[in-house]
Amino acid sequence: MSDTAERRLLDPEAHILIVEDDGEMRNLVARLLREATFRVSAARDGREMWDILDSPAGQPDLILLDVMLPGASGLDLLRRLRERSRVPVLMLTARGEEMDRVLGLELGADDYVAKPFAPRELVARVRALLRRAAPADAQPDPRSRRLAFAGWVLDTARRELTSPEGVAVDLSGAEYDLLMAFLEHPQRILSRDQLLEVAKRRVGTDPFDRTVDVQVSRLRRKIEPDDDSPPLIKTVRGAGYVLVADVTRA
Amino acid sequence: MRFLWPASLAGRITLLLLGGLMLLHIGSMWVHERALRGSEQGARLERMADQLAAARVAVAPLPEAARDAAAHAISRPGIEIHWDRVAPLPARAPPNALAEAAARLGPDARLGWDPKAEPGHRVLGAVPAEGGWIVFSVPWVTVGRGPLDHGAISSMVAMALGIALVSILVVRWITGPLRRLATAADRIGCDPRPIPVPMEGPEEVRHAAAAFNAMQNRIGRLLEDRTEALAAVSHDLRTPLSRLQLRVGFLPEGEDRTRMEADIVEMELMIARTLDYIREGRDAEPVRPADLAAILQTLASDAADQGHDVAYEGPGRAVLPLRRVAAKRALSNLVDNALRHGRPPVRLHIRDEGPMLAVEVSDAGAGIAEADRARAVVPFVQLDPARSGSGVGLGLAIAQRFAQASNGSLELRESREGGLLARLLLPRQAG
Repeated sequence: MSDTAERRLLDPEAHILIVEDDGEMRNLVARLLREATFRVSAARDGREMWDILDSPAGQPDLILLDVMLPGASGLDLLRRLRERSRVPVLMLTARGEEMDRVLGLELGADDYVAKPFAPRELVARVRALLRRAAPADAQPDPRSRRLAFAGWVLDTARRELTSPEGVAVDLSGAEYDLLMAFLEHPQRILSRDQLLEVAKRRVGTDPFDRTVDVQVSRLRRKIEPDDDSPPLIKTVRGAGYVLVADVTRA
Repeated sequence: MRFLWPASLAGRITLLLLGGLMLLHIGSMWVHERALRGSEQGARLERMADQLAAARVAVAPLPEAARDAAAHAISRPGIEIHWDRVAPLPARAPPNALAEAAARLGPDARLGWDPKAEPGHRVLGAVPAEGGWIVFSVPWVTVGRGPLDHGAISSMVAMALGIALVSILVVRWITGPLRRLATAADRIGCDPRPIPVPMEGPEEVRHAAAAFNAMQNRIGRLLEDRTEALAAVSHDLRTPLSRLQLRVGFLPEGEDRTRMEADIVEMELMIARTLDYIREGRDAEPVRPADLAAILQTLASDAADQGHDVAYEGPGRAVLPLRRVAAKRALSNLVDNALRHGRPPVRLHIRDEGPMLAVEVSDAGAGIAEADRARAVVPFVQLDPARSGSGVGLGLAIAQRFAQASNGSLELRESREGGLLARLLLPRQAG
């Protein structure tokens, strides 16, 4: 991790820019994030967003973007934003609008939260994204959102895992997060604690230590369905788990 | 009499056709027979009159003593002739049955009938001649009514069978469109999609089919409007609900807040279900090979993580062409339905059924009575009004809609534990 990323991670006052047309919603989200000790700016639309981005002091660490904006749509805004900045973007989408979500992720959004959302979930997602965000120059090509390992392909925009035989294999949210953690750190042992951090991003589950083992075994059942399937995730006794395959960006 | 009257229209028409044609047949046979016998009788009377005239001519020049012998000599088989000074019969109108014969023989003829006489002489008659009477006796002046012969009976039976067969075929052909109309009418309400009835058959049936199709379209539009309105409301509810959720988050921890959060989750779910239902079939999600077992494992894990007794017990892999997101939505609705209206444990299974794969979701609740099962899959129908707060009545409808769009079907049965067993059948091959 570079120094800037390290500083950002430790900075309790990460700067978050909210772009949301509904005034009440904007205020409530701002209040939520302020109570979670973030520094918050708010913009009503694209014009206000550009104003803030152009002001010298305004560079946010993360943009929370409502894709259902009037006028220029949130997706257009996202496309133009990506032409000039790699700042992490968390999309607010309407629940169930899969096309918006997929398009948004393909256009370079880093994650999404569906409305209506649980407040804790939003804060957890913001934190996770800030933690994950790397400096701009280290970012891979934003369009290559396909991670390949041992014949498997994970499309991170569509959140779709495809087996070597070309079969779509469904993953739960927790399994997806876990797999992402392994794919971001291939051939490195991830401890239970590290994986527990990943599990904590999920809301609705009480992350116990045991949960990690359960989630890993569920993930294994999906990517190693048969007894003779090659082992992809190995248990390292007393240390944690490791993904043994090479990961390439396709 | 009721048991003779068939219940179906086809049966009734067949019966009427058969009855009518048989009556016509018997009637025409009778008329034919009568005409035949009438002409035969006429000829006979003619012959009899000729014989009597000949007897009169023969006795005229003879003395009285020789007259009877001369008349008797003219007798032929079937008619015996005599001469007498006095008539053996009084002068009175002949019985009805002999009126025709009497008219033919002239106004002075006397005719009578004696049932006690010998078989050959039951009809006695007399016509005046030369100071006396020509007296005659015949077996009967009309033709005897012989029984119908075997040929006539078997031809009639054959004809009846032929008529029955042809009329059954014809009537089936005529009422076919009507039956199809009835079948379509039966399915309305159970199947959310309109079932176009073919416009064929006689004009009345075509008319009925057209009216029926129009009615279906109107109902479909009505339902569509209702669904659209619900979609709009659900859509618009998301923003205030998000605000409410955020606001509740700022309240101090406590029982009230926990309950409010639970209510909000409930409302969210209702909105999600409504939008799921509306979206099913509208998304342009491509069909691609997908692992059904993985989907069920995810659903079971997610439910288990929320503390529900849900487990997947099927094979490790089950690959088939699928719209994965839509399938997950449909199956999640089945699991949700089992948890909501049934009772745990909820078990998920995949069974091999030849060309189909059956996904089974079973619970141990009270189940759905057989009579209510067709209604249970109708959108917006809730079988248990007491629990109307716990959903919008779309769970099974979503699964059904998905099944139909995937050339599959949804079956409701009773599970081994007495609860509901929902079976979603999906084809293994795309097509």
